[in-house]
Amino acid sequence: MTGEPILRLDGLVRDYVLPRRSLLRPAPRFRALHGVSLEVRAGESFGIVGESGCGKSTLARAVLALETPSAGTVEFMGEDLFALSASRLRGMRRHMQMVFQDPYGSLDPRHKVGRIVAEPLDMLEAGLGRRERRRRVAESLGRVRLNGSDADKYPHEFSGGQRQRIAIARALITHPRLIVADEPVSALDVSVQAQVLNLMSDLRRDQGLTYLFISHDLSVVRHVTDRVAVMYLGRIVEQGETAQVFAQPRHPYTRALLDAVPRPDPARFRHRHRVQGEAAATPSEPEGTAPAGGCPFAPRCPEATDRCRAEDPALEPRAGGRLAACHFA
Amino acid sequence: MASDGASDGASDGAKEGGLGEVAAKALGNRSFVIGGVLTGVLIVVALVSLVWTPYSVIDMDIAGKLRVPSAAHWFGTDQFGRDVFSMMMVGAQNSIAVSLVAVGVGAGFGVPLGALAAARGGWLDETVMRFNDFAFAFPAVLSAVMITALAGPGAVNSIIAIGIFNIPVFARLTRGGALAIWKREFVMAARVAGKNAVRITVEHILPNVASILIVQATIQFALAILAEAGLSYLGLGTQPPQPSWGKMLNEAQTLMFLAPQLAIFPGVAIVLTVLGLNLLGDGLRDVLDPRLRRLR
Repeated sequence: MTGEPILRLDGLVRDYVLPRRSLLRPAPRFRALHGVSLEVRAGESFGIVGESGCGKSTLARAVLALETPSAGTVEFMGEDLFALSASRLRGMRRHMQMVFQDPYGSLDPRHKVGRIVAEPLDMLEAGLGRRERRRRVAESLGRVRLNGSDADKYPHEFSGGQRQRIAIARALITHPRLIVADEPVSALDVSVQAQVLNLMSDLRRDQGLTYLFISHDLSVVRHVTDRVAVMYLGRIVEQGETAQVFAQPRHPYTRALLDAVPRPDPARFRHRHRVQGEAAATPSEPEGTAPAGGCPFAPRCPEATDRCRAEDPALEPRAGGRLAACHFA
Repeated sequence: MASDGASDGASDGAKEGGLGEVAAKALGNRSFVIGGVLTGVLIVVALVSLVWTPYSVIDMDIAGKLRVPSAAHWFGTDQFGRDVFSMMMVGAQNSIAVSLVAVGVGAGFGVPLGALAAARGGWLDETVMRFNDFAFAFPAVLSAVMITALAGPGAVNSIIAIGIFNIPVFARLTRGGALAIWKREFVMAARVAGKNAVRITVEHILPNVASILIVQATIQFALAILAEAGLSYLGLGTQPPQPSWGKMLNEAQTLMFLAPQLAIFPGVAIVLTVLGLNLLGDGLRDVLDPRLRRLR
């Protein structure tokens, strides 16, 4: 099912310059991505999980070349996206599209559905005849189980789940190879979530799509991804086959995340790994990380030792084909 | 399904309604109806004056000067025996023409500047907006007096003067609205589709800020009519023999006790016009965009 790498991120760093606090000192920086490297293979569904503010969405924007990283490369279908000319980059956009979190915010309320769905087509495959354009819109709407006649309606005439399907139809219309889905179901009702996720799974199978699936919702990631990377403060702390990562988490942060999922079993409750506080990515620390030099997770880690506070663990292969960034994994 | 909009407070549920829905809401809005009728009467009077007035506004009739209102002269005659009603009609046309062009100049420069500032950000945004602050810091009418004093009186110069001081109003409003729209996800979707900033501005940003701009335009229109009347009153705006409400007020003030109606009619006309446009703007805002409460 999965093949050669289609997307390769290498040492991706993204700094944000924050407003100056003082005229004399340099403007503080916030490091949203802290050297992220990963490979997504053609045809697979690759998940990114982490709590809010860990850099997931920054990663998505960098992958789609909407935001230029401070360092590192994004290679898609063998091309370094940030080395391409503007017109070649636009040519590449045909092959990579995005589905957004908020189906109310991602569709322009002033445009009809047909125009919204055709948006990538008009830009990236310009010069189609009107009839062909209409056919492609209807075909794309059909793929997400909407009617071709829905093209003449406005987004407000649809429910949240239907709107998200319109957004998926827009992403599919140029027959892309990669879909970046940034929290595609977290704004939907639980009953609708399953419907949209099943649709996305079917589409992947039928169209041979590759997903980069970003979510904070572990149960969603577990169901729709083959491999997963866990992010914490702009770095990947653990990566591996989804089933294995969920069954045997190696990194204490992954364990804490999994234990935070509510489960109707009071016996388990007493053995939870609990983590206090929030990710310490406050702008007061110019690096955007916890103590300089040490493991970024150390301040919240129940198993932290002096070594963790002194030495930052690298993301290294562990048993079972897994990558983990922990001295004790 | 349409009820989704109601549960979604942050979105634009109400302004997404169809045209019929908007029209029905407009007719139920008292401000909109009253303002619309007042403005409508003004426009009709101005249009009629283009082709017909009861008397010529240039021909004098010294024998019949300072008549009180009668069946022959509805609003009486002035100190030269000209028909006040006819002068008022042509004055309406004059007010509308000057204000329309002035607001057009303001929007024509202000909207692109604001959209550019929002799209580019950074030093360009800062520069444009600081120039705006500079222009904004002068009281508009006072500055218009200054410009006409420098460039000489006349309708065209007063249009330019009023227009210039409408630019920052529109630039600021466009920039503010555009910045909010730029953060929306559908803009990012447009970027994923390969659209550049110009195209995004034309296809997504401007249509979504149009309603606040329309509302502001009606309010600026009212202010421009006041400014034109003020300039003409001071003798800096419309020049004789072209009638203008402001100039009529000026000429009436020396005859205040002799013929008070000469001041009352143009004064009331200005009040009703400005009131009508303000009500129309308020009503339009409620109809088009209920989330915007009082802007000013």
